[in-house]
Amino acid sequence: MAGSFSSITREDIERKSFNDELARLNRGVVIAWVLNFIVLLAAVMALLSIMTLQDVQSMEDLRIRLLFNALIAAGVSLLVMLIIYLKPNGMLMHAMGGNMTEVQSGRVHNIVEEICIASGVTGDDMPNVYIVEGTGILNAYAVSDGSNSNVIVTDELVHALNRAELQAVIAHEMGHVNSGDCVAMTRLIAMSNVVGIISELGLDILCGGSTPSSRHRRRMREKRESSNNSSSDSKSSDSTAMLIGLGIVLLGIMFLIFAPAISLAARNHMSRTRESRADTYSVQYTRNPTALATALIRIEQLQGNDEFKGNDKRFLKKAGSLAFYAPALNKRDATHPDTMTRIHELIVMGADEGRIRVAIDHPRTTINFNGYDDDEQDQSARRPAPSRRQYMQPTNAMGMMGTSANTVNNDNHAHSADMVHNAPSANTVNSVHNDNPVGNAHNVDNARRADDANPFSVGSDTRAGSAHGGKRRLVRHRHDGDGQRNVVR
Amino acid sequence: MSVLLVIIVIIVVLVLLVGSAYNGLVKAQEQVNNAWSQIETQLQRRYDLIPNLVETVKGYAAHESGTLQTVVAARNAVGTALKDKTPEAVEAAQKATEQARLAINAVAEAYPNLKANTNFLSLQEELTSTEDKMSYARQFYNDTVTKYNIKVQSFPTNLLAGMFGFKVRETFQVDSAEVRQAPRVSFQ
Repeated sequence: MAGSFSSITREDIERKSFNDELARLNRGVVIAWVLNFIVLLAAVMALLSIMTLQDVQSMEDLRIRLLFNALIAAGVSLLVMLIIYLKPNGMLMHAMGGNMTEVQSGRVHNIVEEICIASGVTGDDMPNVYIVEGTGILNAYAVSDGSNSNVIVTDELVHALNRAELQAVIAHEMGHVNSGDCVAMTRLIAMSNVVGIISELGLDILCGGSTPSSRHRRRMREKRESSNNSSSDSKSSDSTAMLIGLGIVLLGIMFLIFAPAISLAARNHMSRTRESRADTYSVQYTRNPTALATALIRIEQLQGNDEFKGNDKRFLKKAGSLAFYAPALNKRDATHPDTMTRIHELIVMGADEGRIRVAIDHPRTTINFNGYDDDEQDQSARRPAPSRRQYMQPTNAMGMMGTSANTVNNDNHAHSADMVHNAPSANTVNSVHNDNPVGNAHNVDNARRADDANPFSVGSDTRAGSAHGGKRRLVRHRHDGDGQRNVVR
Repeated sequence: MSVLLVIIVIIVVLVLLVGSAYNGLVKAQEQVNNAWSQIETQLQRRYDLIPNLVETVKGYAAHESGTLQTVVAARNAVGTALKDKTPEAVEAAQKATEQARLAINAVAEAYPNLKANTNFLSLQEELTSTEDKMSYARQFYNDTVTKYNIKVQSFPTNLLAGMFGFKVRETFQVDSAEVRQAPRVSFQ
């Protein structure tokens, strides 16, 4: 009985801090909305003024026209922003480029169904599943507008990971969807991207092929151009095109001025604990922290290969904070915790360090697009998972929402974390709880956040001489060596 | 007069408390039933899936009667589980299907043609997925039952549960000793 009471208070703590973070995200959405509204309003207003204020007769006339313009501009901007607020999914669906198809069957769809079962999502709440081909990106993300959610996975990722790893990645995305932060994130990113997307589109129309653009958009433009050539000869269409172009250029300039401010506002409201929480959700659903860790390693290894390097730059810039794997170009822009930090947290949750080592030491160098990467070793690795699931049965599912195992209730765990961290900071293993010393080494549900301290500072600061830093260097090193090391698995 | 008022207030508060506790119990029980129905859905899926698999494998493994027997036994076990609706029967079905899956994989290893057969491959994927869905459904069932059981057993809802006949439900158990053992961490 005492146990149940203490678990209730723990749940309450978790729920409270989670709600705080959601509230913060939503504040970010509002701020981005207002900022964008102002930018759009100014741009439309300026455009209308250029168009209509050439032959002003009197001050009275000017006043009336300005008022009229302001009203139209406000209406247009309001409409645009409302659409983006209510339907943000579409804006981010094509963030990767490539060919997108919705799937109704097959491995990826099956896995999404499985995770839905694991998380108790049924019927219409199940997200739509999309596979993107030909992007050269290994990534996955989810978008949601509250009623509809979509999970988007690249073909490269599907073929690079084995089944258990793909499950773990999709469970991570479902964690975002189910915890409710996906809606806020989708809105926030759609909002902070809107001016950028519009102005980019405008530059595309105006300058033809001079801007770098994805294959998809180029194809769209070709289509547009061919239709233009056949129908447009008159001078009037030319001049309206000029005006539209002018407006778009104006927007582009606005964007240059305001984009840093908007993205700064957005970034300040993005919670950096979301990713860790989604990782914890993934472990709660699949009970397989090892697969999530090796998936991270595989992606980092393959994405670092020459074949795929840099392909994801545009995508990460646009929707990086939604992505499953988003390495930061610099620490300030980090939307995700460092990969090694995530792996450390997974080890604390019970990931098998031996298997992680194997994954680091034997990088896969190619993706087999004709089949799945399910060799016998992976099959055998998969097998313990279902039983482990039973073993790790949490009595308190909400407890899983804790971001990292700031409090570990078990010697074993603290120990295995030590082995990697060498110098466990107050941040990682805040306190060691020994009131439950029975051999449930994998009872991760007791992991919880003790306070709002940012757990990610642990991984990002390079502690000199720590085993942690050493291990990270090891990953980098393997990376560089990917080209020469042709380990056949 | 004021005494009467106090009594009325106390009664109203009590009724509200008891009502909400009772509703909580009903809700938890309904969640458990839902979770169980998910298990049944997957059992049925598996039951329907196995004949297709048998048809595909038959051509290749006609003389390997052992494999087919294992598969048929698995289907029967699933049928029993669908009828009995007990965790034990589901457990038995799961084990039998696992055996069948391994046997089929072994056949596939021996016959490269079968391994390249897209029909077989998609069936294999479906079976794997159904297996995973089963264990996820079990896991979710266990989670919801645990929550429900805590409610039924803890004070003060246990008084209500006793009055209205809410019983503790059974969860799926882990039986193998090696699973209970904490996994060893090896440093290479």
